[in-house]
Amino acid sequence: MDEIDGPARAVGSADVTTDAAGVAVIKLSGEIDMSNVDSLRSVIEPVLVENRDRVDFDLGELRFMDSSGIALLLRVAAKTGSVHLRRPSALVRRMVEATGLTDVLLIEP
Amino acid sequence: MKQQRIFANTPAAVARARSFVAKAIDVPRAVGDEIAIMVSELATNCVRHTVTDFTVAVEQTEREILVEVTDSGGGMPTVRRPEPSEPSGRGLRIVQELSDSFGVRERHGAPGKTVWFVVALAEDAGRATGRAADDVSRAP
Repeated sequence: MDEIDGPARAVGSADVTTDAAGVAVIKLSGEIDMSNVDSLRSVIEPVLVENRDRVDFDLGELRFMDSSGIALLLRVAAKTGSVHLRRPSALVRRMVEATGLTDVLLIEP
Repeated sequence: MKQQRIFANTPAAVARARSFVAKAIDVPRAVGDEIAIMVSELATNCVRHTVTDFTVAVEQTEREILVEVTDSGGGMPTVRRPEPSEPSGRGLRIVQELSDSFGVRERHGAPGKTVWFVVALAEDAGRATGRAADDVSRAP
């Protein structure tokens, strides 16, 4: 890898599954920042059409997310009944709490 | 020793800025993760709100890490607390949360500003002191 330029951009992915209870679970992995958040959003948007009540995000495999990721979660929350966060890192939890979003982005115990 | 690098105004520069700072410092993983988020927030603000290159400077001492992000765009960033219906506008609030101190100062003799933050490394280092007198904001 080019030492000067570093990574070309953040690399992240969103995989959609349905859990045993029938809840749509979007597993985010890799990194999320402003360079790839829009493409991730376009993967997620179709899920929202069929899941108006609840969408869960599994963040256990996510290596990095800044407030662009928070913005992505909020855009989903605006289109579905509730958004739950599974396996958030301590840092993601702290960002959600510090920005006063614990009523909108529900952290699963 | 202070290291600095100029980045082009592109979305991909945000990850490059994170990578540059990560390589310039030697800290525990948890601290590095916090710094990566803050660098990302400040670089994102530069790309989103200005049209020119931006400079990232990083300096590690025994007691602290100082990161400064300078651009030549107008306007001074502020800590905001947007409603949940507003997806963006939380970057500086997150820097405030994760840093030991931070601030914004106007550039001298050129348009633009520097947004900086400090992370204290030693338990007894306390809050950073001695920042420039023209800083317009800092953490309580």
